[in-house]
This record gives sequence, structure tokens and C-alpha cells, in this order.
Amino acid sequence: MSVTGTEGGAPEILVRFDQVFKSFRTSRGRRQVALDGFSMSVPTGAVVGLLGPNGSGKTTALKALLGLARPDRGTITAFGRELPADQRFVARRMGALIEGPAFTGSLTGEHNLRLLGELHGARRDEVADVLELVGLDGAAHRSYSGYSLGMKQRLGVAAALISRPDLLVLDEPMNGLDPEAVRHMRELLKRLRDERGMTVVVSSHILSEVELVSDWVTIVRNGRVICDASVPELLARGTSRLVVRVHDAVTARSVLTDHGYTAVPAFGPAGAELQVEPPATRPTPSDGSDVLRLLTERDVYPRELVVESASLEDIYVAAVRAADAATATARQEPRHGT
Amino acid sequence: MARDRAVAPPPSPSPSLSPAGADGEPLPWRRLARAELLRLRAPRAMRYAGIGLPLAIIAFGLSKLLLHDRDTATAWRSAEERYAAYLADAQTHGLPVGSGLTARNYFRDPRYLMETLSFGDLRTVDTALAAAAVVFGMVAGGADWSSRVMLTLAAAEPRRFRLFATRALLVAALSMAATAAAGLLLLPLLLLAAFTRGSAAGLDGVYWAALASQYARGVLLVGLLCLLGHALAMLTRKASVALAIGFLYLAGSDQIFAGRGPRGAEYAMDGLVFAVLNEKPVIPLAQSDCIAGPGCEAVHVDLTAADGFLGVLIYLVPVLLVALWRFTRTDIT
Ligand SMILES: Nc1ncnc2c1ncn2[C@@H]1O[C@H](COP(=O)(O)OP(=O)(O)OP(=O)(O)O)[C@@H](O)[C@H]1O
Ligand SMILES: [Mg+2]
Repeated sequence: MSVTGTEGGAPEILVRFDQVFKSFRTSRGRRQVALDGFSMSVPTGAVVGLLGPNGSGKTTALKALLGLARPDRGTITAFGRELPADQRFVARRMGALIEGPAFTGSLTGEHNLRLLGELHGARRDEVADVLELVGLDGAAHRSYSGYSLGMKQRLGVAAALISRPDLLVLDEPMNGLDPEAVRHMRELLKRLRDERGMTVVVSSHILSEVELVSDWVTIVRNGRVICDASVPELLARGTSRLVVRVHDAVTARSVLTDHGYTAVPAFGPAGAELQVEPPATRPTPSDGSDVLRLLTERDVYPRELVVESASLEDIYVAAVRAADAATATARQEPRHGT
Repeated sequence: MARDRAVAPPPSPSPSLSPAGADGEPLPWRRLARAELLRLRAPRAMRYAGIGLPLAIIAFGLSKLLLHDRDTATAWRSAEERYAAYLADAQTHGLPVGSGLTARNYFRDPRYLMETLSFGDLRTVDTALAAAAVVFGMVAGGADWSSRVMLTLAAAEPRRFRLFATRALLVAALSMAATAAAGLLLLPLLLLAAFTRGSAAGLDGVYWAALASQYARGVLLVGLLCLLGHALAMLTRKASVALAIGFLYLAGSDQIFAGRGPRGAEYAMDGLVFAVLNEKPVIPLAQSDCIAGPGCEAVHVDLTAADGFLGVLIYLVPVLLVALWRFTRTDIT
């Protein structure tokens, strides 16, 4: 399922996780697997969306990249260097927001940022610029503890930017942002990619946002990557849904099911309709012409035929379900053997 | 800030970041140290401490002016009165009069005698600072964990030993600098008290050497204790837990060490502190005016300042090593 690179001119890879394993010991002494053979690649200059259900290992993977959590096994390379051996080389090229913003509450946003900027040799005017970039210039001199969730989040992104990184790692930066701020963030990420050539890894639960901003998507489930592909490729791969509106739904349905299609009758806004899915054996997604041909051959003329292309959300849900099904079969197989 | 902008190069209509600053060089130590020092000094509490500490020292020094007096005649008069009362008392009750007992035994010198009193005053200040330094070390160590700023710092400087050592050194150095400054501030105030309310007699080379030694030992002790508090917070990753351990120790140490003979003082922190801060490296019991307490026990066993330091290190080294191990060898999550 995993696809790395596109056919013809594979993109240059900036970060690569290769079969990374990581487990934590819980307070009860049990081992909790966070990364279970996690492999992913981040193409240079791309915005990569990291998706996955809660607890799937996104944050752990990012912490491993930042050298905060050490993998038990596997290799991570970034900027052509192996981690954690060359972490100090890579650290200076990365800026990160991990598991929400982290600042000293009693200091102002600007003071907090200045202290971090000091580490990276950022000048005062650069601090002001970054604050303006994330839209916090108006609140720069207010105490951080008085910030709203969205303002804290923006300051977190500002802190990730203050080191002037080549690789920006953002763990759920859209959390708590209002729609306008989400849009601002989206445009900011695109600008950083386009104007600064930054590579951005962004984990998020807001799939529609990831779809809008990302060039590449990686879906994680139970510590393993179940899907790793460019967004256009992924959307093309997704099974589009066909909706056929026809007077004689009964005949239409029997025609389609005879040819291996599934046709589920439904009552849509425009009256009776059939939701059609092509047979699983079909190699390419249906563009509707096949359905139209089958129906007209049997003198059934649809009033309307709509091809609804899959959204990232559909693909995400399908991928997660498929992975779950695969895990379930894998679990059953040994039992059959014994 | 607005003024800063005005002198900055003409602001672009939409601010953009300057080209990548990462030159491939690892984070320079000087920059790390500078940033950490600024972070350490940033909290408002530190600014209050910067004002409060000198004020407290000045108040302590000036209190010597109020509590002391050159008027020995009045003191003699009251000593003689008390001696007379004692004699009368003995007579009415038919008790024998202690041989060699004179009015001198009832004389309490009201003068500020620099030669003897300054050691105790410096010890008082240093003891208070040592206690404060433990708390400061704990808070300075724990604050960045609770705010999770430590994640950002550890990501920026992956050389954890360097990060740990830099922070520990800075915290200790800051507390030592404060102690050194406090001593320097106290000394002229005590001299003032001596010149106006007492006597500066006997301030010879031996005296100054002893005072300088006590001063230096105080500075070092405060640094070590601050480090202990800091290491405890780095180990537990929570200032509150470190503070709780400190309080439990204070509450429990009497139970643990008391009644186990004077040598128990060698392991109780207050005895160790007393031993380190004594005016003489060894204080013979005969010259001591102490009556009870662990400090006194320390005197009873002739605990030297070196013994005191050794005892403090017995506490510090294991905690520091385990904290370092945890910081460098385990995940920061
Ligand atoms: N410090 C830790 N100690 C113990 N278990 C941990 C620790 N950090 C993560 N885990 C476990 O590892 C797994 C992956 O966690 P992780 O935080 O990486 O998930 P996530 O994908 O970021 O989830 P979310 O979307 O909720 O942020 C979870 O089962 C979590 O319980
Ligand atoms: Mg997470």
C-alpha cells in the first residue's frame, strides 16, 4: 500500500523513518507500543500531513525525529544524517511545536519568544517579524497566561519559526484555532513552503485542512504507516462514488448487480436514486461511462448520473478500516493454523 | 518595541523571515549559556528577589545599630544590681555564695564587638541563604518541566549532558553570586555597627583570615545546596515533588538522627551546615556557647568544616548522578 515517490523523477527525501520501533513503559509497568515498524518519507520542500487516530503514534514519531524519544530499533535519517547520532547537526535545522505550545506563563508572548530566539541568535526585530507573521503582533506584550488557546497555538508556531528552520515540525497546530485563524495558518504554511522552500510536517485531525494544505499525506494506525502518498495520487486512487437517478430503479439495480456492481437504493434530495459502487475487481476508478453503457444497453436511461469524487476523509476512513480488517485477519490466521 | 521597529530597516509590507540561520554548526555553548542565564533571570520572582535580598540584608545590618549600644556604664550598673540581688537572695535563703562569682558574670556587653559577633551574623545570613538556595534550585529546575519548555530546550540542544551541566552551573553560580554579594553588603554594615555602637578592636590578620574563610565556605555551601535542590527537581521533573521531599526530610531528619549519639550530627543537614559555617574550622566545646541542637552536636564531635562539606557531598553526589542519568538516558516527554 505504501507508495514512496511518484513514478518518473522520485522526489528528494529530506526525512526518512525506516522500520522504527518504540515502546513506552506505562506507570503500571506494562509496555505500550507507540511505533511498530513505522516507515515514512518526507519529500524536500513538501508539506506533509501526518494523519491518524488518537494514540496512533504521530507525536511519538515526531518526538523521535526531534531526539526527545529514542527509538528502540530502526533508523531515522534527516538532512542525510543518521539520528540520533547526528542530532545536533539536524537540531539546528528544525523548528518544532510538539503536543501544544510550551511557554512560561508569567512572561509576555514577546519575552517568551525572545528567550527562545536568544538560543538561535535571533535579533529583536526578527522576533517582532515572526510575531507579525503568525498574527500575534497586537498581543505581543500581553502575559502568556492571559492568551486564548488559539493565541498560545500561534505563539507555539512562532517559536518553531524563530530558529529559521529548513524543516518545520508542527504537531496539531490547528488545535483551538477559529476558522479564520485556520485559514491564516494554512496560507502561512504554503507561504513558508513556497517563499522559503521550507519542508513542513504537520499532524492534524482536521482532514479537510490537511487536504487543502498538504502535498503528501501519511496515515498512521497503531504505530504503523498504512498509507503514504502524494495528495493528488491519493485522491485519484480513492474510489469515487456514483449516484444514478433513474425512473426504473428496480431494473437498473438488477442490471448493475448482474455485472458485479453494488447498487444501493436511496432516497436523495432529487428523489429515488441508486448509489453505485463498481466491482472490487475493477482496476481503475469508474468515471461513470461504464455504468451508463450497461444501463442504456438494456434501455434504461438515467435522468442523471453524478460522480462524487472521494475526499481525504473518505480515503482516511477507508484506509483505517482496511488496516483494521487486515489486522483482524492476521490475528485469525495463526488460530486457523493450530 | 515600537521604537525598535522605527530604527529597524524599512518594514516590508508582509514580514518575511531572513534566510536560514542554521549554519550547520551545533549550538555554541556561549549562546546556550547566555540564553539560559536570561531565562533563569526572567521570572518576576527573580526581580523581586533581586530587590528583596539587598533590602533584607540592609535591614539585618541596621538592626545591629538598634540592638547595640556603647553605653557600658548602664550595663555594668544593671549587672551590679543583679549581682547584689543574687547575693541578697542567697543570704535570705542561707545558700552558699559561688566562689569566684562576681558582677562580671552578670555583665552583658551591649557593644557590637566585631571580633566575636560578626562570625555569628555572617553565619545567620549564610544559613538563611542556604535554605533559600535549596528552594531556588528546586523552582529553577522544576519550572521548565511544568511549563514543558524543557522539550523545546532539549530539542534545540540535543547534547543533554551539556544542557544539564549548563543549567546546573548557572543555577549554582547565580546563588553563589548572590551569597557573595550579600556578604559584601553585610560587612560594611557590621563595621558601621562596630564603629558607632561598639568596637572594632582585634581586627587583625588572623581575624580577617578567619572571616574570609568563613565567607568563602558560605558561598561554596550555598552553591552546593542550591545544586542539591536543583538536582532533586531535575530528577523528579516537578518542583512540587522536590519541595515535598525537602520538607519530608526536614520533618524526618530529627526522627532519624536525633538520639543516635552526637555522631548522628555528621549526617543531619543542619549539623553539617553549622559545621561548615563555623567561624573556626574546628570549634572546641569549651569556647562554644551553644546549649542544644544539631549544630551543638556537631561541635561536640569536633566536626570540622571539611567534614561538613564531605557530609553535604554525600547527599549531593548520588542525587546529582541519578538526575544526570535520568536526563541524559531517558526520554523527555
Ligand atoms: N510518555 C509516554 N508514556 C507511556 N506511553 C506513552 C507515552 N507517550 C505516548 N505513549 C503511548 O504511545 C502511543 C502513541 O501515542 P502518541 O502520543 O504518539 O499518539 P498520537 O498519534 O500523537 O495521538 P493524538 O492524536 O491523541 O495526539 C499511545 O498509546 C500512548 O498512550
Ligand atoms: Mg499527539
